[in-house]
Amino acid sequence: MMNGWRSFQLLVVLLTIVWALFLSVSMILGLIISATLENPWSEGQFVRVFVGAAVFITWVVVWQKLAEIWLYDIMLRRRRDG
Amino acid sequence: MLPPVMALIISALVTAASLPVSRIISKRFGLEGVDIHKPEKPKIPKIGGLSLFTGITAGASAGLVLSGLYRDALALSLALTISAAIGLAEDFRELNPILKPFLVALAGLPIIMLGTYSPYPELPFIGKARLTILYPLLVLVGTAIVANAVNSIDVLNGSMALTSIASLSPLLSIGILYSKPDVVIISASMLASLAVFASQNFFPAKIFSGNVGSLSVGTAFAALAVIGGVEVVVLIALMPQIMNELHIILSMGGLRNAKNVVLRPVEVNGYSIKASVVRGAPITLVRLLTSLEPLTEKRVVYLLAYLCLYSGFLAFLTYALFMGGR
Repeated sequence: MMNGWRSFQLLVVLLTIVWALFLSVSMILGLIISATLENPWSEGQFVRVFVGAAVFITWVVVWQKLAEIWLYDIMLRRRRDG
Repeated sequence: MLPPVMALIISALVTAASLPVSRIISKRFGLEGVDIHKPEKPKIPKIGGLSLFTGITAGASAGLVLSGLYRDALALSLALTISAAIGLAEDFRELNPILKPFLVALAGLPIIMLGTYSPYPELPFIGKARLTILYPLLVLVGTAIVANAVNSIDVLNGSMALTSIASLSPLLSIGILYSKPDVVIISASMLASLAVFASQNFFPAKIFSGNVGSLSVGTAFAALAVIGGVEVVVLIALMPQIMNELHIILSMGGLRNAKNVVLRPVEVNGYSIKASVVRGAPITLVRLLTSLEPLTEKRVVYLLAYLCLYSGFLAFLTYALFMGGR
């Protein structure tokens, strides 16, 4: 039957993981850089901003990798395996 | 209670009245798009989104003015006008895909210039962050991301309208439950406008939204986030749309014109849509949803809307448990 519920369920799991990662990343970014950006510039703050940017970029890369794993290694593989 | 109700009624009426006008303008200027997911490939008027722009602008502005929020009304109207103009320009002639996000970001300028924002966005667990210097820049970036995300989901009959309606559900609930009049007015207005538009845009579509409609709706979401101070809630509610945009950009290796992409994300066979198995084809939500089995266009749109409803639930949960709703 073509109703797509299985794909929907798998995407709900992906969405939940991405949401949990978003909450973690927004908390880390809030702690690391939000106060830093409002204060006079110093070397210590440069490190904090650098770490914050690295955390954000890592999150985006992980998000993309997760979607690739979901599509190619989980969903399309299940279709191939019948 | 009166302003949101007025916003809702005015938006619905103006959208309903503008739909036939949009259809006439589309035909007059030859602005018709081919419905590629139908075997008969019908030509459909493609700037029906003009009615969304007029409906949301009229209804939300009226509601905000009735509440005494004059500057918010002006900022929202100007932001929507800029994004609608950019969308209309793209409906007439394809814009450079690298230039487009920068142009769309300009829609955030009225909000910054009229000062209708608070530079203390609320973050989950942390509370209010102080971002007086960075916030205006984030408004521009956020407007570009959100507007283009809504634009990117407008690929099937009714997909943009239905997913947007689903994403609005947590915002309207939060606005009502936590007494945020500006959030209630703008979301009620968007909801009414989108519902009327969906009646003509849902499968089989009699009219398309066009870039003018999807960019206007996306900008309305961004304005709602900033003016209403619900930035994180909007971002989570729009996670499926943002996910779609992000994966398209990253899997295509940057900002590209969709028409120039050789590998298509899905294959269309009659009325059914099936994910492409080719590695390197753009990763989209529609491809993910159709990767296990072929689905009809109507079914994919329903599933997209359910995903947005789920994301809306997560947005509500985040606000109620980890933010101001505690």
